[in-house]
Amino acid sequence: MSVRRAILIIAFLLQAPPVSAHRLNEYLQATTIAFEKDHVELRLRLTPGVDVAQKVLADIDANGDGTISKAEQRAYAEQVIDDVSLAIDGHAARLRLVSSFFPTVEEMKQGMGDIALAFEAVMPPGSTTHRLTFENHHRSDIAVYLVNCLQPRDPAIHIVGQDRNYDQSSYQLDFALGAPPTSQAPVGASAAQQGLERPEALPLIVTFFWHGVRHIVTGYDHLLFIAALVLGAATLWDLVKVVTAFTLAHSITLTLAALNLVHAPEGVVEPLISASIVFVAVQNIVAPDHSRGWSRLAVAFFFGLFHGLGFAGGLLDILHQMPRETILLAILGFSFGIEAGNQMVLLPLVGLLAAVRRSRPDAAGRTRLSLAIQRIGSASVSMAGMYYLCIALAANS
Amino acid sequence: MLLALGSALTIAALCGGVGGAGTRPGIGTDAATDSQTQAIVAAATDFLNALNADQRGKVLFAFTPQKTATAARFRRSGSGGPGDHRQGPGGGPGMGPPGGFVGEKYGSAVWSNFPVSDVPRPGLQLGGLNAVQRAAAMHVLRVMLSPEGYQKVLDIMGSDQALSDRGTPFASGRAVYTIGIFGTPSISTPWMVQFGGHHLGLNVVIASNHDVLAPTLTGAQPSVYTSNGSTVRVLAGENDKAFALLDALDDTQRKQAILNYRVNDLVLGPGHDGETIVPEGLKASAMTAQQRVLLLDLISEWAGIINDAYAKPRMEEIEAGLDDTYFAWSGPTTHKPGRNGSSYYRIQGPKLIIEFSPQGVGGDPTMHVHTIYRDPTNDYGRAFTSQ
Repeated sequence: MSVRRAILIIAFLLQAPPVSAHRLNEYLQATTIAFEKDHVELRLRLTPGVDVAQKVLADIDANGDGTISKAEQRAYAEQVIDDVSLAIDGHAARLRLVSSFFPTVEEMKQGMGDIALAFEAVMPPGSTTHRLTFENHHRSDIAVYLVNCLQPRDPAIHIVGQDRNYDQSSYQLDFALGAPPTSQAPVGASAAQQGLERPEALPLIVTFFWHGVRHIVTGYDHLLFIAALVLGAATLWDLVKVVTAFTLAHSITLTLAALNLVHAPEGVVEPLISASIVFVAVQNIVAPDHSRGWSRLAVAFFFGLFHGLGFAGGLLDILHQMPRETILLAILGFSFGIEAGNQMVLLPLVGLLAAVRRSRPDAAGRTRLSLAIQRIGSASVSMAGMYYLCIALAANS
Repeated sequence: MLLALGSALTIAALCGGVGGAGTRPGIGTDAATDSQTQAIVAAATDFLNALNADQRGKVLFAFTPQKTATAARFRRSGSGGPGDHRQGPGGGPGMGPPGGFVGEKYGSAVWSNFPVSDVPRPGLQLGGLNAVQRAAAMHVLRVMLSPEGYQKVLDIMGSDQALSDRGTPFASGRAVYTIGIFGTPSISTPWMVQFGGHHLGLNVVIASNHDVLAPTLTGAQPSVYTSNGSTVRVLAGENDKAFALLDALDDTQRKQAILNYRVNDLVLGPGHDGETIVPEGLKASAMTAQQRVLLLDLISEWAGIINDAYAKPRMEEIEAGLDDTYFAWSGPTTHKPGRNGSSYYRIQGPKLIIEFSPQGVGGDPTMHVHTIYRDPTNDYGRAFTSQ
């Protein structure tokens, strides 16, 4: 690959497409649990959003012929059975498919198709209290889960309490058969809550890890800032220092904001984030000497504080009124996700830049090329930054 | 404080607590509803008389009370508006599996939150009527609804028009809103008016001196738009009154009201007739008198869509069950001024289900919302029409 072409590719990559940042691509999966006399029914309504429809379709239309055959419908229902679990009193219940509806491929592609599956499981005998647990991990990378229990029609079935984890992927329901329990706990705050009071740490961290990754890879503003920092760094050691300063700063404000200890209006944070891109990129061009060393560390730290508030905005949208210990886990997972997202862009970019620089045999040529890349790349980044700044300011006016 | 006082007066007026203000002095409930039913029958008859025989054939359907409504699934029919997407291979009639867009079907009536090109509504579209006929159709709505309810309908249609003006791949805009009349307009035998389109599904069953608005779906996209130079925020009352109630709760109450999980869509949207979920959240029996007033005021945004003569007994019924009514919240506890919030909430009582659900998928949830209003004991006026 010629050096010129590499530079052009970098410049192209850095020109973020002008789509709205932070878009949600989701696969809605609504489950309704219905109790009948001798069985319990799970009704799943699955609606893939337009941006993820192709992914879901790839699972369903396995042979890719543009139609969903009966065999493919059955296979998908089996896949869903594998990904969900229903247990009564700790014993896994066998799910039997009782009905299914699939939209056409075309409808799914437009994000308007709705898949409906109904499963049945046998109720346990006896008239004591029972605990039902339901978990849904189907396409958890893109899923939005809902789960609710219908008020039983049979007066002999009493709902004692229910509880869910934050994203509704895990659900617990306590119910009694026969005579109403003597002391009925208020529904919603019940015995079932004890089971989930101490949240399982790992799934929560993983959930928020992916939220963090998603926040970064769909929010070009943060990536542009990172790119500008990379372009300004001459050595790997420079880069490590500057990224550490950035990470330290945004972790501080992200934590403070998520714990509701600081609050900054979006109308201030968003323009400042865009301005930070332009500032660093322009500094790379007009004052390359300042693009490393202590002054750059200070700049990365200072703006990092505002990026942290931006990250917090993304986190707070999905996190609210959670118990404090849960919030800390969520912040941890989200921060790791953000770091992972950053590295996904940063590492290839650093590697590419190093490879391009090494392509020149002489030291003088390398310096010249380095400076050229820094300038051209930064010019592209600053233009994209200006674009976001205009949008942010327009949103305020 | 002023807000609380204003809300108290609104509720008092709706519930008949204060004589005169908002009610018709000297007219008892039965007399008020009787004369209201007569006015609706007259307006519907005038509308039918303005149509030709062919149109009448398309707008009139039988009204057959059903045990429950069913989820109806539709495939794209190709009868939509500009840019309508025809079906891909394998999607022709009789080919491929059923499924697709969900509507709720009650006899021959169908409503949904989907555009009319995806879920066709039975009846006549406004765009196919001449000016006189259109005015007569809108007059039916004006008589049937309260002034606030009628304005809400106009705002929702305006929002869909704004969406249409930007260009959509499906049928949108005022012209495709559809009216259907089920049964014969009568002061004695039950009949129904259905009016709807994208983000609107009004179902009004008129059974003698009872009028039932449930189930009804309201919504908007975009939630904020400009019309003739002024900014319209659709369903602003539904948003602002809910935040007012939330703000009025103390920490203990909030803890009960705010769910520890997120809710991203309607739980009991179209196709969920007859379903009652286990209630959650803060019970109104644990609310102060002022908070209960705020809750009733919030409920009146839906219950008050119908003409005051019917809204009054309906609000009384809701108030009677208030102790067993729950308020549940999921999402941020603040919203930007001039914008709706992105939080979901649900109000569930013995005779009431309300859900307010901002739609995040593929865009800004503060600009796209679906809401549902149901009465599990009396959807489609079942309490008055069952044999």
